[in-house]
Amino acid sequence: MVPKALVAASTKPIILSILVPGEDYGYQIIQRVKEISGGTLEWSDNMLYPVLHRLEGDGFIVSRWKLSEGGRLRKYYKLTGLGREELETERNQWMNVHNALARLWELLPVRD
Amino acid sequence: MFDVEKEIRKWRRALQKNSSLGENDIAELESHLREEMARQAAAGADEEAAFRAALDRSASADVLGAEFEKSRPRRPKSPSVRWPWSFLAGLFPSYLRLALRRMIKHKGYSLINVLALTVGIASCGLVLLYVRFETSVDTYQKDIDRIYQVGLYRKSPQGEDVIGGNYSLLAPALKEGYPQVEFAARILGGSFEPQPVIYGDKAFKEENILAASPDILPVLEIPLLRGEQSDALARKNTVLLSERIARKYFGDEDPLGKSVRIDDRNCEITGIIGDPPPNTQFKHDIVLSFKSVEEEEHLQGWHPGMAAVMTLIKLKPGVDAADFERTIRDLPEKYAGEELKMMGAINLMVLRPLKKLYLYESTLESFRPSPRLVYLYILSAIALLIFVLACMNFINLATARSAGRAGEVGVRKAAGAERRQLVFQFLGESLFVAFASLALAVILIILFLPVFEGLTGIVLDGAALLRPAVVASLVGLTLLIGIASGIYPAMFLSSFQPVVVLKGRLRTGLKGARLRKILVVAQFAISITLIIGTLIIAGQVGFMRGQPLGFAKEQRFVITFRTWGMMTENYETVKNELLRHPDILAATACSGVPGKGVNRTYYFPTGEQAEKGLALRSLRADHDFFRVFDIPIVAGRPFQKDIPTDTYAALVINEQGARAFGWAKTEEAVGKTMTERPIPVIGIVKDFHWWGLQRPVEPMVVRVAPDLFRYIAMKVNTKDLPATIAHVKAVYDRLFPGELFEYFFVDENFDRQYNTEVRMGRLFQVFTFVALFIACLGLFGLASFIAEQRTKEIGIRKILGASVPGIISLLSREFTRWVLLANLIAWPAAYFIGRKWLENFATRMPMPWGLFLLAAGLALAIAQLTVSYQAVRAATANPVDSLRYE
Repeated sequence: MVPKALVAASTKPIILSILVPGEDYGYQIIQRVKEISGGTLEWSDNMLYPVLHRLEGDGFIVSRWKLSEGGRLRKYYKLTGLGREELETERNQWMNVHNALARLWELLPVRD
Repeated sequence: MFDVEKEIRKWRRALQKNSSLGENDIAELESHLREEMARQAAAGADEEAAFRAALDRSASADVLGAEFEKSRPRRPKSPSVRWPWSFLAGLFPSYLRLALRRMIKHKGYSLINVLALTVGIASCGLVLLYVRFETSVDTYQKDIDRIYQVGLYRKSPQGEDVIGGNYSLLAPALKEGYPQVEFAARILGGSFEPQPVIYGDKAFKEENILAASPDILPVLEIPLLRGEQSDALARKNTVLLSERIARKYFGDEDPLGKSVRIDDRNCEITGIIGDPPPNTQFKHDIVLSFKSVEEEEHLQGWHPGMAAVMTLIKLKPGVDAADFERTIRDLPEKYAGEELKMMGAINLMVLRPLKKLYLYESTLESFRPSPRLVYLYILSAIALLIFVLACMNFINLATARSAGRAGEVGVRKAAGAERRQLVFQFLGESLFVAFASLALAVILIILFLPVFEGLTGIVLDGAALLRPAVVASLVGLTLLIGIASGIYPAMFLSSFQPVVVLKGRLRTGLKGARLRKILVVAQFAISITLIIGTLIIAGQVGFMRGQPLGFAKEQRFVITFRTWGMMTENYETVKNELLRHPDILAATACSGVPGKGVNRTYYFPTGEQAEKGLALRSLRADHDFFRVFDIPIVAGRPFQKDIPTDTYAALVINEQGARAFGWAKTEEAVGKTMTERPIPVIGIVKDFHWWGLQRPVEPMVVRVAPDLFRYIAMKVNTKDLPATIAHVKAVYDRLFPGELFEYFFVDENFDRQYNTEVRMGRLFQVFTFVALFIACLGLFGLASFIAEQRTKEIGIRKILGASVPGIISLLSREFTRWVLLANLIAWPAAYFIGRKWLENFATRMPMPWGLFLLAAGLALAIAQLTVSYQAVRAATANPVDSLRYE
């Protein structure tokens, strides 16, 4: 079980990154995350959707409703320019933390 | 029974209770839930299990609410709109754009809608203009409520009626003897034949000539533009001209005081009056003073048989018309009591308001609609039907396409739109279409006006479209159409829940399928009734034209003499001159020909009381009349030239006449005598139709009385008509120099009696076409929709081996059933109306069942054609394409 704090902190970069290749909808995002994390990250609906809305409110993603050919109505999300910039920022911050930990855990050589 | 939709709705309601969750959010959560359910189902769970599982994985309403609350976007939600007015005002332009985009996107359906509505509105608009015109005839005078015609009620052994003519000396008697009467005018005219009017080198035949006493100006409120009021129409052989006539003959010259020749009179022009407006019955272009004609024999004295002068009065303000009518009611008794008693007749004065003259006929006590008014009612009813058709179309197409819009509705609702907003949006769209159609309809009306004139003979003023009353009516009509047609689809469409899983569009497509069927059946029922109506009218006219008339009307050529007495002495000479030409086979001189010119004369059998007599149609003709018209004698003998008493002192009556006098076996009549002279009946002639077949054969008496001959009728060989006519003209000019040469053909003149029916038939045809057009437009749209719906099904059938014709018949079958059902409804309706109409005709065709079948067949064929385009398209579509979307 991944600690709540970690899950919470990682949702934003994960969501933004998942949306890089193209737009996607809530349920699908949850499935992808589960896949990619090898099953360790199983997001629930009450966790994902509020975050999506906050991200939208901040202007990082935009949403639209689409009616699929099979007749399903879904709300799709897409990265904005602002969102891409934000993702860059997030990535740098995470990489800083990651590198620090990696060096400590002797996975990486100390920076010269 | 587990109803998953119901459970989902329950779940939604629980969420809605939480104020932190907006519609948008709930929609998304529902979408998520359904995705999970689908996944569970794919793994093998049934509906209920899938639902429960999905529900489990979802958080409770409280938790969801709390989480959403925490990350509420700082931007406020769009406020839900409460008041439609500010809504419409503020968002009108954006909805306009939206509606426009929609229309362009669905060009096909939009086109159908606009087209049908345009035609519907244009038809109603035209009928509106026509009704407006007809109801305005002679109702516009300022003091209209004081203006009356004094009509005459007549009762005799033949029957009773109320006529517009009256005793010639009535008007002056009223004005002098009754203080209630402010003005009293007498008028002769309207049925004058066109007379030659000549000034200098300008000579034309004018029709709009009246002879009237001076009071006509104040009574009808005709403005005297030039000339002295006291002199206008005061003297003999003076005339007033309307402005346009003055301009026609005098150009810029001043006509006052000059002299113009009318017929054989030289008349001094004593004034210029205003042009007669198109909506008056009194075409006062040329008004001759009554003094000029008052000395004519038939205008002297008080003779019931000669009451033919129109008397119009204007009562003083405050006079009660009913009282006044009572006062003058028995005047005929006072002045002509003796003669009336002798005729066994009663005459009473009847006061008829001017404003009711055009559209109503009078009975002694009240009014009843004249055929003209009935015609207006029928037209209005048809216009209403067409309006209804157009609305039905609109509703049908809008609801049929609802499936396609369900998604849009869902999206908008999810985005926070309330139902009311959506209703107004859809209403706005339908109003937009309606007003776009109005604009096109106005253009269509203006373009169609000349055609309308050709059909009905009425000139409608296009400028009337700009009158406030008309504009208001048209706008009101459009609003009505827009709202009436738009409200049902609006309510229907806006009721869709967002995120309804559309399990194959057929499900929502079937909503309202029953209504659609009803509407299409109704449309076709109306159209078929109209088709049958048109066919019946055409059939009756054809029937009347084809019926044997009892005389030969083709190849009969007639020349007209201006007045009686011109050929009293020499009619035989004239005939002989004419007969010199080889193409003139026979000739007769007479006072009238079938279709024209006989009045009534009073006859009674000798020895009987005078009251037992009858007023028979009275024809004066020479010995050759029956021969020229091929009318056989059935008893006794015809007139013979060599028997001197055959001239003036012998009578031939028709079979109907014999029966009317009580001689059942017509041979009995021969030898009987009439009146006190006595005059013997020497022969009985076979019944023949003098008037059109709308009227029955009337009793008729024929007498050789050359002093009243006015026509020479000839049987001609039509080999070289122009040469024959030229010969006749030459003879006429030689024998009657200076007289105008006028002629006509008996068959053309006779057929003109059917004009009203022919015109009515044509108008019916036009409106039937319009109705069918609208119904087919609707059917076309519907067919394409249903074909679209069943694309999948058709694809599968094709793969399974169904043939193209097989599929076409499959699709058409349903529509065929609808049309047949429509027939079931239309036939009884058409039968009743048709029978009622045919009762107006003395000679009517038997109810033409063949026509009913023809109409049914026609409707079926048209429906089939309309549907087949779509059916063929659907049937020949590639099944691979149809099945791709799954």
